[in-house]
Amino acid sequence: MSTEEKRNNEMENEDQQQPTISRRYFLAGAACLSAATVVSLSPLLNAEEVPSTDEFIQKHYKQLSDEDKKEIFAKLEAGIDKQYGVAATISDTQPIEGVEFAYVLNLGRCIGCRKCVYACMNENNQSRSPQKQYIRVLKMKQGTVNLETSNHDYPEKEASSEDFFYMPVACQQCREPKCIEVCPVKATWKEKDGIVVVDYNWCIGCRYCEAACPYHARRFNFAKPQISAQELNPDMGYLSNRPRYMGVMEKCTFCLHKTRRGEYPACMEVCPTGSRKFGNLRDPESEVRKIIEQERVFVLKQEAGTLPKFYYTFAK
Amino acid sequence: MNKDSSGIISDLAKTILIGNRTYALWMFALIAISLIGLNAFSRQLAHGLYTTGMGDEISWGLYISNFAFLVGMAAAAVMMVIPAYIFKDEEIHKVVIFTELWAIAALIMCLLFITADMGRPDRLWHMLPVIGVFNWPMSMLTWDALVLNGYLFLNLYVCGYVLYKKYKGQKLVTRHYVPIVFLAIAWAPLIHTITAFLFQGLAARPFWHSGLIAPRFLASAFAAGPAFIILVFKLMEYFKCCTIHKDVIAKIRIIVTVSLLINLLLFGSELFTELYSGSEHSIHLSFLLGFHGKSVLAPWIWSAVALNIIAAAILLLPARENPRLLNVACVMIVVGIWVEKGLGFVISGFIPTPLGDFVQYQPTFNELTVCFGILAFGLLIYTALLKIAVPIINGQLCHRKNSN
Amino acid sequence: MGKNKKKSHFNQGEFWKKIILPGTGILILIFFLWGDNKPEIPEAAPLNAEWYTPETARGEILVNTVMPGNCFICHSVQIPDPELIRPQFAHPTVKLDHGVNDRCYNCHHIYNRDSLAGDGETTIPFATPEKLCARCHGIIVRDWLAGTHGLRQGRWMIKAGEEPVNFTCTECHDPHSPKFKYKIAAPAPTWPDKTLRKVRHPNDDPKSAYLTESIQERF
Repeated sequence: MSTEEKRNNEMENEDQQQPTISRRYFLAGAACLSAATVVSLSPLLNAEEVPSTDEFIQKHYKQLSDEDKKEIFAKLEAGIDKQYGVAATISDTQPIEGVEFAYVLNLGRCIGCRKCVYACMNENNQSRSPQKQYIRVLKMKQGTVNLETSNHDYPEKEASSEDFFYMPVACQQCREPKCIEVCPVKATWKEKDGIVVVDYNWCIGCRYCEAACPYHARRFNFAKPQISAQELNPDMGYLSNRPRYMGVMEKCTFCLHKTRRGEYPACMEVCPTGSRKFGNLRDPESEVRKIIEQERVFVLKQEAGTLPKFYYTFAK
Repeated sequence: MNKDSSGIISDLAKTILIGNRTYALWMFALIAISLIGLNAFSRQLAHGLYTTGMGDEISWGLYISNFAFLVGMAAAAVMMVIPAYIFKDEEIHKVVIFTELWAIAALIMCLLFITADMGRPDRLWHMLPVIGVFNWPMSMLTWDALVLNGYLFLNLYVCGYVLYKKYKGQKLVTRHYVPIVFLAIAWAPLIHTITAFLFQGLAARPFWHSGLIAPRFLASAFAAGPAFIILVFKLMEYFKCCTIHKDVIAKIRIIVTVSLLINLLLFGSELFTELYSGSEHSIHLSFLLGFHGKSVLAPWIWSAVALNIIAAAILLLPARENPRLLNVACVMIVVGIWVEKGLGFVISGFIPTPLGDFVQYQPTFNELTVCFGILAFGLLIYTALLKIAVPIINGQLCHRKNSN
Repeated sequence: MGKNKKKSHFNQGEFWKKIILPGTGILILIFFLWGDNKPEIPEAAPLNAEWYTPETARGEILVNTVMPGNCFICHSVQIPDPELIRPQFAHPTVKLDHGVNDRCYNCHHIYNRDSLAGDGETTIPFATPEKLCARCHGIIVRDWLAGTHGLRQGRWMIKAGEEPVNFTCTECHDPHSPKFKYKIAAPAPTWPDKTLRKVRHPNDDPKSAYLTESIQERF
């Protein structure tokens, strides 16, 4: 390239003449470049989700005042009504003082029917296609708790087999959640009652938390979430099951819009065998507390140092 | 002053815009590929990351792979800067600016790859300190953002200062830029170390959770980066841009050789630890190597290992004196380390998932196009920077002459 | 293309005509042909209500349901046999599969068929089966009373004056065959077609994990 340059410069020295570019060609080239650039951006015309100005400048959840929230919730409700024709209510239930949620799952009882998986979907408005499920039920072989030999795809007819045991895994609501440490923008954090939540309006979609989770508990909306109006659950929480955006992370929140009102989470209510137990860890009379004190419980991947509040037991 | 700066701009614009036929074709091709990449990226913006081969199981793919590789390429510039400024190697000092420019181009590619990987690039402002929420010092990603942008700034300053002064025909004032150069020398290993920490701090992924990752990253970067620089210098000689002293190539070759050997040693050490112990955590590596049934990545990683070993053999044998063979070895190293770091390291950390699910990674055409677009754009920037820097360093382009 | 209008030794006009103009045209053509190219995402089938409706594991399995009506109509004429194992006559559907507890009159009161058998001659009404179960499964009934065994619905935070939604033993377990035989199960998760995923063999040997030595064979 610079051979030319040298020659040019030599020429310059000799002829006092500079290499030039004609104005005509320069402008024509610039026109071509801009035309091609503009046309190359044409797929943006069909963008599936374009944030509104308000959404674009919306602050972090923790920086929102009560008036801001009111306004935002009203806009979201109106948007849901417009998109789905469903009159939804978005609540922002706050943690209850003195409550810390915990979960116990009795592997000795679980029959692997996967009803919890679908009750969760029914409650939490996850995308149906591509399918997002918070709970994964692993069919485990005898004599091992090796996750690598577990079967995630066993068909319905292989549920409740006595030769295997079944291990549902969802977010473990860790005391030391690695996912919130790694988030560059604090879009995910642990609430006072121990639930790890995501601000769907703040997440930048870097998926670092998904890489940092030892339980594969987080789900990312690679595509625009799809759910039909009939299946939309109108009882929504701002930090839990309101419709999600494309390109943001989501996860199990122990159905906080339900549980903070004193109800049971959907997965627990639907369990036909009573394998699941949910309650307030700080209440010595709660079921979970009694199980943890009386039975031999364990947590998944203790070596990861995440201190989960989701306990497993092999009780009768 | 105004007249002055407009003079510079027209000089620079002319230098970039005017070249011979090969240059014009090369630039045209790079612009065309960049635009096709931009087109693919806007498709990704419109329809989400579903247009890529990533999923919940393999949540980082080619973008982060390329990012990890290119951070190394950027950091590797320091391997020229150290001999030039610390050991006062005259010959290397003459050409060191070209490697610093490469660091700039590589960093721009890194930032573009990160942007391409975001689910919501429109919300990147959330990461700005003060205006947004910056989770520093907890999140390694914020550290990475700081060091990458800092390194970019340092290199822009040094290159900008040196080129501006030379263009103006003024003397370089040591205290105006050498301290920054030394800061950049300390900073360069930092960017790659922190990029390694990004991965190795995650206990959830046993494959990444090893203290050897940062040294391995550095060793592989100091092999691949200077190998690429050798190729660039040879190309510059071929196009008669400037003359590169024979010693320079020989010295870089030694750097490449030593780094490559250290990299192979560290890789071998990792291989032994994982495979000999046979613990559950070795599943990632043994699956990657194809010991557990069909692994899409196995042929890639085996060829990467082969490329690295053959390149090391060439560099150790007297054959290294053959310039053609040296070129071949350098290409092998760049490709081999790209595969080892990108496909072999980043992606296989996700196979199997923490719940033992085996999903393979297959990038989509759109995703590949975005990658090629970004790489082409980086090369475009590097070529343009060289197009300006070469005549300035050679003393053909200077203020005095043009302002007449 | 901004960069390629340079004139030095080659003809700018020629380069413009031969490369830039057709190149730009081809590029724009590529963008048009490639177009929007939205990835195809299939519509999802609606969720089957069976998959998420709460019910106990006993569900609606009627095979072993207890016959309604007054037991004395038949049992007043029959002389009870304390060793009786297999239910007879009117109870052909009842299959007793309760482990070592294989005598009808271990649980049913031998003379009072409207009640269950308590200690000695006492009776336990059908409404409180847990008292009968407690005779053998004391620890589990203790857990059940503590709320740590069995299914709960409703609220974890009981309001004043509210009763927890609880279920007795026989609402989940069939007393004649207490192991769960729940048949409703929901399907496995699905992945997009583009995902290259290894589906495990559905009939893999349950014991293979500790029967095989080599790590390779596990996969």
